[in-house]
Amino acid sequence: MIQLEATDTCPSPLNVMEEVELSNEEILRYGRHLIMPEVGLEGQKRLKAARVLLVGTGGLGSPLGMYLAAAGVGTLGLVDFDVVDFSNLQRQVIHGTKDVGRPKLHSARARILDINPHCNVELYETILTSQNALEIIGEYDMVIDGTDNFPTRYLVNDACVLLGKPNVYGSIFRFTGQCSVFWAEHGPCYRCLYPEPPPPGMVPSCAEGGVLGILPGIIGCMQANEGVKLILGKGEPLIGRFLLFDAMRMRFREFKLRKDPECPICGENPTVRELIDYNEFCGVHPEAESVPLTEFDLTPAQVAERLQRGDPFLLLDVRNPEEWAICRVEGARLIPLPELPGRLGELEGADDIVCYCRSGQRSGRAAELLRASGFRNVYNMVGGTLRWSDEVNPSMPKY
Amino acid sequence: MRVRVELFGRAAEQAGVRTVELDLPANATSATAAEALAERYPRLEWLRRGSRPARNQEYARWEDPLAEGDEVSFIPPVSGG
Repeated sequence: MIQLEATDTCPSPLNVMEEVELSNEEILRYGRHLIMPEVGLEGQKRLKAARVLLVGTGGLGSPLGMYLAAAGVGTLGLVDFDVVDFSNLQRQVIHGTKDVGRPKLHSARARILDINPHCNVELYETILTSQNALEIIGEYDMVIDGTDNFPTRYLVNDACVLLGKPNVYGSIFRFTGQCSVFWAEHGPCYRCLYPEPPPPGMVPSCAEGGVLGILPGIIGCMQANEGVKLILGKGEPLIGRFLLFDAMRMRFREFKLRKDPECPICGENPTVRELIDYNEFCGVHPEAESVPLTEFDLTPAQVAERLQRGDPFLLLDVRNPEEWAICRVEGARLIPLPELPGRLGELEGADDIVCYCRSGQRSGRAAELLRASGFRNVYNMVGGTLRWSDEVNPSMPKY
Repeated sequence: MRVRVELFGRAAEQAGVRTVELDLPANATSATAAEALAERYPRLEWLRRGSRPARNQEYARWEDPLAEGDEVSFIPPVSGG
């Protein structure tokens, strides 16, 4: 093991490293790095000795895995449990069309090894949970967060704080992205910024709101850049700085972020001392799909039956106009969920309403809103247009 | 006092503008600014519950007082990856 000297500008999680050598093939491969004093032979050896955990091999994980492998990071841990879907290919460029249906970990590993066979790829085909996070993350020098949900983001943050590891953060939605480096030993953590998650349902996911396919490429590359700087211990890291990127206007805004002395996990008197139940913390129920139907739920088949019988009811589509243009159930009326509170008057007199959306989530919220506003006999079509396509009309496109 | 609010992403889309000038009482805070904004643009009501305020490009607390000429931003959390 080699004791590494502290650098003047950028802290590094690599304090000691395995003694590694570069073969002539590797020297040729990394030649453009090796001739720069900021990397050099010593920096390239640091990269080879580094162990980086990528949580998620989706939009952000794609450029992360490919560029970090190409740059010569010696060990990449990948955590994912998903399989490649057609709807991933618009942005998750580590996976190809031939990989649809294959576990993401397998196609990601194949692509990484094609780029750089020297990369040691370690796979964790699991959901990161409070039970396994400390053990998995403990094996690595740093985590790069490419997850797509709030519970896992808080879990990654808290585990990194408890283990003293840096967390290179990136997040995307529609045309905007965020990037920062959270490292409680040297600056703020994610909870210093957002101590509490947003109320469930308030922040749409990319599946609900969409995302520009190029955006994770940009933000993921920024995360890869920060990760490499931390490994090298060079440059000015994004610690204590929060970058906001607007792809539509091609603008970057930077916000200064201070460590919060009252932060529940990295503050002076932390109240969170171990990992918690993050689904409960964020108010989400990942098993919602298997929850038995309530008296207010209808399956697509039941809705189709009612339509066929000619039952008098209002079929209310609460998706956005862009989604309405893709597909719709014949006979439906469109009032997008965000506009619903201001357009209740248009529904006056309707005494039997069935709401639907793409997956059943937004329509569930719409149905709750209508009931709370005094409407009786309001139902939610569970599974939305996705399930309608599976169970009623396969010619309806899925998106 | 007069402050300038900068909106990002979904909030800018919902309001249909990217910057808003607000006239606020002398003892106004980031929370006052968010409430005044929601009054003018009802669809921005969520900002007070679901974003983090920043004042002059520095993250702030809801109760932090504002000053004449401040630039106030509300940074919504996003979770996509």
